[in-house]
Amino acid sequence: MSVLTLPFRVAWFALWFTGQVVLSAGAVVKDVFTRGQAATPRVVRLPLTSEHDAHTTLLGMFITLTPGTLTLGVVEDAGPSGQAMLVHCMYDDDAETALASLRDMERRVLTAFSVRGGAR
Amino acid sequence: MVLDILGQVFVVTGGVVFLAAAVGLIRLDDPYTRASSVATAAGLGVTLVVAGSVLLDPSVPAAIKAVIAIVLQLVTAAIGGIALGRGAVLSGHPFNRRTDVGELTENEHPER
Repeated sequence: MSVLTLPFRVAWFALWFTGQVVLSAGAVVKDVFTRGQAATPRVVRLPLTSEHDAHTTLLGMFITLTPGTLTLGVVEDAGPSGQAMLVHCMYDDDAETALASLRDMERRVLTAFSVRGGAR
Repeated sequence: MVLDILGQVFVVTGGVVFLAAAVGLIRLDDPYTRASSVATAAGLGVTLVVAGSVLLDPSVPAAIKAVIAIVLQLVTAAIGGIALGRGAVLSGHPFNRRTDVGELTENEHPER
């Protein structure tokens, strides 16, 4: 994770995130404009991998900017980093699906915004 | 010409995002779903409208201003949404009946 590749990693993440937003926005807009109540709201607990506040803040922001998910806060956790994020998801079929996509996003945020394993 | 069409598409799409958020505000029934809808729309709607207006009248200064405006808008919309959701949890607002709150304990309160 050298400083030199940081711009490219951030650019790649931006592209991926834009795609994710377009995909999930479709589901949300469809649900709003049709009579159906497709929403299955739930609160899930995502144990955080990184201890860095910058990573936590960035992940919380990207989760909130994704249509259908909202970060509710950070709580203490028994896991390795001692922190977990509470996330409100509206359109995932079950908690496992929701957590899987959140973990994928966390992995990508850490890959894009880390320099030598640390925060920016 | 191509930029014109693309710019118009961006601006109109941004408007549709705002419309969806407004309809969502009325139809959704708890602070969490509403904050979710508004935070996303405030970020993406403004981003699309600003990017579209730059495409309609392209210039280097306009592009620089647009990038700054979009970054600031995305950051503030997200943080505002998180603050609203967190405030609602801390002040004990109920989730709607269909919400599965299995992960949230009775006296859970985020400490920051």
